[in-house]
Amino acid sequence: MSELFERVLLLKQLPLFSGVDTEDLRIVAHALQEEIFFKGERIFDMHDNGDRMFILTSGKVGVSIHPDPARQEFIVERGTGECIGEMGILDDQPRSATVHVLEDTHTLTLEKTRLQELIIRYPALALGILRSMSEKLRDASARINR
Amino acid sequence: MSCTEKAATQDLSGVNPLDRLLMISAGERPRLMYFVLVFFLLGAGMAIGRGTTDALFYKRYGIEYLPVMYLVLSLSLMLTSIVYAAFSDMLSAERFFRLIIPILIVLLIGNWALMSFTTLRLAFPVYFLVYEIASEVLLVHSMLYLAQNLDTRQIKRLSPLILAGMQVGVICGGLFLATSSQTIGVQNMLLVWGGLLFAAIASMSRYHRRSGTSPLYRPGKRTRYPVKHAIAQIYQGARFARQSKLLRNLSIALFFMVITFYVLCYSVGRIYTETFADEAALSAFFGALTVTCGSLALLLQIFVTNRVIRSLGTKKANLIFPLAIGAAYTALLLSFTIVFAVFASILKDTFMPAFRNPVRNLFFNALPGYMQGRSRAMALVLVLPLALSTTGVLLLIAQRTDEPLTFLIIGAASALCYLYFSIRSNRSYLASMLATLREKVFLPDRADLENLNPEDATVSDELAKGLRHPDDEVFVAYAKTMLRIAPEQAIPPVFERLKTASVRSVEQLIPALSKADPDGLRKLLEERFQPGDVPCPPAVLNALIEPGAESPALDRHIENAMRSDDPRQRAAGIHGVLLRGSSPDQADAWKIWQTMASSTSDAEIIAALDVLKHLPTAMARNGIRELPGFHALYGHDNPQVRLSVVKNLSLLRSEARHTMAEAALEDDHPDVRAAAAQFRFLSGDDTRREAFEWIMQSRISPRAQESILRCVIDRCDSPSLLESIVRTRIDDARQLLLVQRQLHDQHATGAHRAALELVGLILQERHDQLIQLALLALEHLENPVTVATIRAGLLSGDRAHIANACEALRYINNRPLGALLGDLLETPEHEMAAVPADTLRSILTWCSKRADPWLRSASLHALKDLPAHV
Repeated sequence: MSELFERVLLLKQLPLFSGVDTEDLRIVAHALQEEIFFKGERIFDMHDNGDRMFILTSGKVGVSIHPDPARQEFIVERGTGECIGEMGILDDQPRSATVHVLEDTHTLTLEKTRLQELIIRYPALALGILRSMSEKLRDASARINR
Repeated sequence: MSCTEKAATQDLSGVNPLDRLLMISAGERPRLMYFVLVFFLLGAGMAIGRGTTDALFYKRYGIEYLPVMYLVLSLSLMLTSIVYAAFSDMLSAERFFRLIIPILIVLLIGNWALMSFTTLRLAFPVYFLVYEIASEVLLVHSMLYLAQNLDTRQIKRLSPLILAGMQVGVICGGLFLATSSQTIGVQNMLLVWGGLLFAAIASMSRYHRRSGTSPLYRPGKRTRYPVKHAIAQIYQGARFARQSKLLRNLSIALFFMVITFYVLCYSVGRIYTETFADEAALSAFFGALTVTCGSLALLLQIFVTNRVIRSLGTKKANLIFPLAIGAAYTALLLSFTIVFAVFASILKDTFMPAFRNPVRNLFFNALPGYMQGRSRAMALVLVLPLALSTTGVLLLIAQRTDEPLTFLIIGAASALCYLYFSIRSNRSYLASMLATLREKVFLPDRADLENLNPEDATVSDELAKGLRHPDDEVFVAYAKTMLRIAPEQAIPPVFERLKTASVRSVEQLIPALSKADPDGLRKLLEERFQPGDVPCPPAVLNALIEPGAESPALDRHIENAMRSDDPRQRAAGIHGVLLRGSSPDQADAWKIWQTMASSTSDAEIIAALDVLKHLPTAMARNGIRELPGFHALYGHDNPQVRLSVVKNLSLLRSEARHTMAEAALEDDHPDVRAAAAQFRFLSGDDTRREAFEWIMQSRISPRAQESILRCVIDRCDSPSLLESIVRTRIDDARQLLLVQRQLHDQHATGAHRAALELVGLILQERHDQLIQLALLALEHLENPVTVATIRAGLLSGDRAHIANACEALRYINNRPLGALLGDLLETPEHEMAAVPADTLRSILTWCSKRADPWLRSASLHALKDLPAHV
């Protein structure tokens, strides 16, 4: 049970799900699966299929957009509570970056097909995600105006 | 972030008693200080400009030329304003300031040089024009600057303070004028004003370098011909005034306000000029008058304005200035002496900044954002010059008699017209605000289909056209409407069309046609769906099945359906066999049904459970009895399966079905909750009464309350009951908000922080849901479109729309309820009634006792590992 609350809070703090009510996030929380990656592994490579998103519950990863997936030139590092590959589960575009595991990393993964299934069953999830996306768009627009 | 989060969640810890008094929320102070500083500098400069202009013009040029100056001024103002309008929407307000202020500084220095080093008397009317134009442009643009930086709610709270900053500037400027005119020399004051303007523009540049462009600024379209574009914009503003009652009334009110204001200026100016000997004495007097008026206006702005606006409302506050002007004329009509002139000046110069300017800003916020700049430009370019030139002409005519009474009657008559059009502006305020909001939240016009009159030729032509529409979906939509409002007219064309329409269209219209003309429907279906290789669609087959009557074609359909792989078709086949087949066939059909209902396939289960609704109750009950896993199906992961279970709850024994229905009220899926509410609360008057009690006593979660309310609200004919629901929901929301804030103030660390954060989030969500619930009930007490617009505005997530929705709430017909909701949404957290600070444990215990499963479980989780000392 305690795990459920932690997962709900973790999801709520992600930009993608910030507009979804915590009560609806319980449904998503149940669909999350744990996965562990070890230092030196790559979670995914650029141009891979974006079939799931990863929420980091511990550890650290580096994001590289170098065409050579083996090169460790990171544009950004992500740590606990952050998310990678979230756009991939909404669109059908391939991965736009490679993610290297910098420290042993525990993740919670959400598969695209599972999310789609949940959205079909619970349209409130889609509305919440749309609300989050609209807020992101509004922020981006405000930043551009500045 | 939700609407009410935006309205409510701010850091209470950062709010000190002074901020509390001045209604400044945490984090707003640095921004507020900046605006106060800039407005202070602008105010000080304008006070110096005002006093010196009048003193120099009245004494060195002659007050008798004032009407002519008004005529010249109107033309100059029009030209300058076109240039202003050319850029007002294209540049952010601060960039525009960076253009106009340096120009003004150069003009001031030029004027000073003319006065100091030449004997040209022309310098005085030129300075008069410079001041009048500059002050108007600066004032209008300052307000636009505020509107680009603060939303309606902030404007209501903070603009009085910012304008108070301007007022302090005016007082300091006046004080400087009163004490230094004799020593420095009136004309040298122009350089002081220039210096103040320089300081204002320097602060502005520094601030925007750090914080970026004004956040609510939306750039207009760029063009190669800005003046032409500006004229087009003014034209658009004028055209918009034809459409918008609010803008039209505001413009006419402005027209009369300008006349009455300038006639009053002229009237009191005559008394002052006759009373004081030279320009230095007159300038010093104007300084002292400025200090007096400025101080009074300041006190009003700080301690009265925002409270008056909030307590009286924007509309009543809009009448304060016209009434004050009326009082000034009454005084002068009683006695045309210096004492009453001072009284009139004080009313005019105190109430204008304290009430008229902030309220006018609020009124402009009710117009669509993209029209606000154009509307202001139109007012400045057309209305103001027209009003000024009218004033000039009227005064020139009045000068022939040289009787003060003539001027005063003109002014008083204009004041009455100003009051009248202010009242008319008030009447169009809410409608305009809602229209803007609806446009912004894309809320379409909801045609009131129930009230369509099919006898009306336009309506029947339109519906007939719809029934002939080549797109089947359009046809179905029209057919449904027509079958509801005029079934007799609808049946022939609908049946005709269904002969060739898609199977899906036929299926969609079966429920409506089975009520309107069951025999006709049967005939159509039998003709159209002959037994053959293609199986009969399940909805059609279900509609055709009737016990007893002999029909070989129907039996062939049923036979085909029983062999189908499609669960829905098979289910329709089972339906047919159970109603028409022999006993052995029925026993076989039940076996197939049980296999389907116990299947691992969701589609099979749903299809099997849907068969039950077509069977006689006794038969369906037998079926359920033979299905041991029926209760367990409610725990199914697929909400559609749970929905099918809930829809068949009436087949269970009394105790079990009520327990299951009450559990289903808290289901994750809204359709399941709705079905449970229908089953539980729609069986009679007693259960409906019980439904309202459950809601008012918060015996279930807000989401379950919403499902129940949606289910029973249409059958509620008691406004007082609905009003009680609104009130109790608002009270409950307020209580949750207070608890959420108490929780927010508890500085938990480590593991508890996350658990508390979740409880806080749930409380916030519950608060928002209760507000929506209150609005849902309100929709049935008020104009539903108005409330729907307000709800959409609150849900939009856009702070400007939320602010306008809160403002609109205050003007619904049921004012007390609107005020209750508005207060809850708008009152800053530090203004909420103080509640004794509870311990963390007692807060969580309170939450865990609420009849709300999700909040209860999260609170219990937070309580679980709470150290004993907390």
